[in-house]
Amino acid sequence: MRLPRVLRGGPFAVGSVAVLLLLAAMMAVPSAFTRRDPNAIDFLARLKPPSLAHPFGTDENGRDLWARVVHGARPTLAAAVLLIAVAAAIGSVAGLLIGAAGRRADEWLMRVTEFFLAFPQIVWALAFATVMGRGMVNCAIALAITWWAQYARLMRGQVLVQREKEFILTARALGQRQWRILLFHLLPNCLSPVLVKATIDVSLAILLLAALSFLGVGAQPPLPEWGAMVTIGRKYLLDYPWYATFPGLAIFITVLAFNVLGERVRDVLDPQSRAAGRP
Amino acid sequence: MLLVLRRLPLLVALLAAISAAVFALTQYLPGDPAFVAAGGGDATPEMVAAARARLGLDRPLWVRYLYYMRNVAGGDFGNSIVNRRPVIDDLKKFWPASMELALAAIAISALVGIPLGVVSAAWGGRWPDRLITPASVFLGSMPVFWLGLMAVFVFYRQLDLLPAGGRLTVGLTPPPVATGMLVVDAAIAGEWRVFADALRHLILPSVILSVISLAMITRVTRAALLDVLHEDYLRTARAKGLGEARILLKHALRNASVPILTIVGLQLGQLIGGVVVTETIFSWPGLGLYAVTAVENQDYPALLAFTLITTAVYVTINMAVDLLYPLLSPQTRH
Repeated sequence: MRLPRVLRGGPFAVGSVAVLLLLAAMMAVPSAFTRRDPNAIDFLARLKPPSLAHPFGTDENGRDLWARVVHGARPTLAAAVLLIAVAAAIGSVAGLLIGAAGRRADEWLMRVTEFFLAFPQIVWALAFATVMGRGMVNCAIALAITWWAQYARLMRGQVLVQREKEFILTARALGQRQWRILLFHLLPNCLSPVLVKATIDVSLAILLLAALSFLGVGAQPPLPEWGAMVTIGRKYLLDYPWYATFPGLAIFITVLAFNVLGERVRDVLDPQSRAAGRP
Repeated sequence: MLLVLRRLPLLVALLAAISAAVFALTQYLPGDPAFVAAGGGDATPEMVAAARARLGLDRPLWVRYLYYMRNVAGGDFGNSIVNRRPVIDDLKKFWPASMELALAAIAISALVGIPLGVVSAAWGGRWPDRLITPASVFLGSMPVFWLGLMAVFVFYRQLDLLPAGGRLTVGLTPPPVATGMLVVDAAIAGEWRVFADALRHLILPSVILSVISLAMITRVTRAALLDVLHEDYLRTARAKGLGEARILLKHALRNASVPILTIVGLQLGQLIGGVVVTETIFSWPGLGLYAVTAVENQDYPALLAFTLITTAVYVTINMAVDLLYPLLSPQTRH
């Protein structure tokens, strides 16, 4: 049996897929990984170091940190994936339309995307969430407001290249309608760089959302989001280091998996980039 | 020069649009400033209306925006809600600390990242490359705030080598202000004990802040060098009998300089977000910590000013990078 091409990239690629499958399982059925309630308070077991009963130790309320990390997979990852999915979808459609529009409309619309790209992401999200209300949803909205523009520009560039190709000319000569050409001929042929970017962007989104939680405008307690857990763990860092360590480690491993997978997806979908990026 | 003049209106338009967007956000703020200004709880509707007129809050949004921008142009960002001082005074007080941190971080990431990228490309596919390239992916995947906390635990709590935060040990007198950057000021004043102390405080924050840019700069340098390594002019240089090191550093690196300098410039802009996070970890009294404190206290004039200024800096840096292209590479001049 032949492995799917993404998996034929050596141990790193296989490892990253395994990690992501594990995370997907944690999001789907957290109870399969821990029998404990992530919000069960036990003041007798406050700030206990890692042990057999509590593999990651316990927090300031005696809650089991392993259970909280497992249950934290869902809010942490769902927010990042959704954010990128929305930004990529809106940006791709916008880019498709921009690329298909005439030259003057194109120039004008590119200025619009430039405006959105000019926001420094963390600063903007910080201001947005402070004013509109703290929480992961508002942070994700703030990031999506600026993020779609990157996809719009990527997609436009693709459209400009692809629409000069023969198969589009053929479709046009066959009398296909404009919208059919856009949707069924142009779009599928422009998607692979979008897919690569989206995979890598999920890792960026996880980091940004976690950083915003750390700054106090992201996930709010008692939600077991990884960034928020590191933030509270910071208060106990010097004497109870495991508290901040494990949720942060979870973020690191997840982000690493998305980055490695993104590189692998790039190699598979866009072999030319290997020449520049990899030996 | 012509290019600068052509891009300048765009810069102004961008800043105007972004400041308008951020200013418009403040309309969604909870609470009514007129009610507060009229004395809060006991204020009658007439008193609130009078306060609203006095503060100009009865004017349309765009009029207030123009007033605000006129004040900003004159250096007036309003007063902080918390300490009642002009925001501009606080900004002046805090920005040198951020500047010191950001400059140190970009220097570290360029001085370490570019050589690492060169080594990685020169030994492409062999062990130095197989070590450096995965390491850069590793580093680039680190949540900076977590890495910072881990560094504090190891270097402060366990090894007791470096301070956990702040810019200077309590009790030491800061050097006379010249630039506001303590390390520089101490060196200028010749106060070497203060210099060493300030430097010790700077190490952890600047190294942590440099991590992400370091990873990016390494990877871009490597890719840019690999792109030119097979060019004919390098074969020519080799045929002339030049040494490998000379070929690599003089001929190849110069031709790969455009993407490398671009990424260094862009990373400088990216550092702004990182500065906010790093300053929070290390209690570094700069603009980032100021902004996070403003968020905690709902100090909107301070937050608005911080957002406007950092956005302006970010946009200006990115545009400056754009303008550098033609200077570096004659091919892109047209």
